Amino acid sequence: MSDDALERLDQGLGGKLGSLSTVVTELVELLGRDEVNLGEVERWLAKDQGLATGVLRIANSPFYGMARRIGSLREATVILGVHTVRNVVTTAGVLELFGEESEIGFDRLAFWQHSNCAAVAAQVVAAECGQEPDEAYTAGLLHDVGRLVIDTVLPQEFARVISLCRERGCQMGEAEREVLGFDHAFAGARAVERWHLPVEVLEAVRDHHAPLAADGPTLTDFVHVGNVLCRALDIGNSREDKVPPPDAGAWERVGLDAEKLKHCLARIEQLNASATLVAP
Amino acid sequence: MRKIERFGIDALAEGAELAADIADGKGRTLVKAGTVLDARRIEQLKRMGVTLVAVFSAKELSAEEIERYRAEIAERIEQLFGSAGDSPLAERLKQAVLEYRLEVVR
Repeated sequence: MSDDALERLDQGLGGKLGSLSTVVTELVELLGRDEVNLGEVERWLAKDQGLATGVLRIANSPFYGMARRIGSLREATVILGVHTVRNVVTTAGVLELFGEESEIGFDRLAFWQHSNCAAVAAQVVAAECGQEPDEAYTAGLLHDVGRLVIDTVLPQEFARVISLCRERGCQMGEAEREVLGFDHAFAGARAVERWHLPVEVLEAVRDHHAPLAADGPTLTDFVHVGNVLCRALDIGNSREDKVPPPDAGAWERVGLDAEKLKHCLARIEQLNASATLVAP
Repeated sequence: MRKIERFGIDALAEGAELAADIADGKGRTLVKAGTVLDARRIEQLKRMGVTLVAVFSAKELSAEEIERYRAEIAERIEQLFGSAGDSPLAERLKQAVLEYRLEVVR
C-alpha cells in the first residue's frame, strides 16, 4: 500500500470531509430515540436550510411514492416514518460534504446517475428477497462514495487512475490499487466509519465487489448484485465503467433465477426512470 | 421496430413515445409505456421529479437497420462484460441481459 496516499487520505478525512455536520449528527441521534420529539427535530433542521432542502428533495422523489408533495420534515416523518427519514437525513448529510464539480473533470453527473441506479437496484433486489428496502437504497446510493473521496482528497492520483483505466480497459478498482495502493471500496469504508453510519452500510461499501460468505442474503449482497445489474444495463456508466465480476456466493444467496432476474432488470429500469437524481 | 433511447427530461422532444412504464417505489405505475409525451405530460413528469426517460425513436427501422441495431446492442454488452471475468455466472448473466435488451427492443 502506498503510505503517502494512505496518509493523505486520512489527512483529508481528518478535515471537513471526515465528519457529518453537527446538525446531521444531532438529527440522526434525535430520530434514533424511542420517543421522537418532532419539534426539536424541526428546530435543528431549521439551522441548515441546504440540508432541509436536500431532505425534502429526497423525500419527494417518486421512489417514495408520495401522492402529494411533502412540505416539511414533520410531514415526511408522519408519512414516511422515522426510520426512513433518518436514512434520508443521513444521505443528505453525506451529499452536502461534496461539491458538484471535480477538479480533474471526473464525470460526477455520471457518478450520481450510477449511484442513484445502484440505490434503486439494491432496493429492487432486496424487495425480491422479501427484505426491507430502505437500507439497501441508502447503501446502494453510497456504495461508490470512496471514488468521490479519492477525487476530492487525491485528485492528481485519481486522474492517473482514470487514464490508466482508459489505456488498459481494466476495472477502475484495479487501476486504483496500482496507483494508490488501495481502492474506492477501502476509501469509502474509511469515510463511512468516520461518519458513524450503520455497520451494515460500512460493510456494503467496503465489500460490494467481494461480499463475505454468509448464511443468508446480506445488505452487501443486495448492493453487489444491484451494482452489477446497473452496470450491465449501462445506466450512468462513464467511458471507463464496466460490469464488475459477479460474486457467485452473493448471487446464490440472493437466488435470482432467470425469471426473477428479468423481472428485476425491468423493475430497475422503471424505477430508475422515475427517480429524482439525488445528488449534491 | 424502433430504437429505445434515453433522454434527460429537459432534452425530451414533444411527441416522443414512452418505451417503459414509469413506476414509483411502491410499485404503482405512474405513466404507462406507450404514452405519447406532449408538453403537458412532460411538465407533469418534471413536477414528479422524473429526470431520465426511455422513449422510442420516431423512425421505424428497416429490416437491415434492425439487424444492425441488434448487433450494436450485442457489441455493447460484450464491451461492458469485457472485464467481468469468464466464470459461468458472468456468462449466464451476459446472456440474460442480452436477451432482455433484445426482447424489449420492438
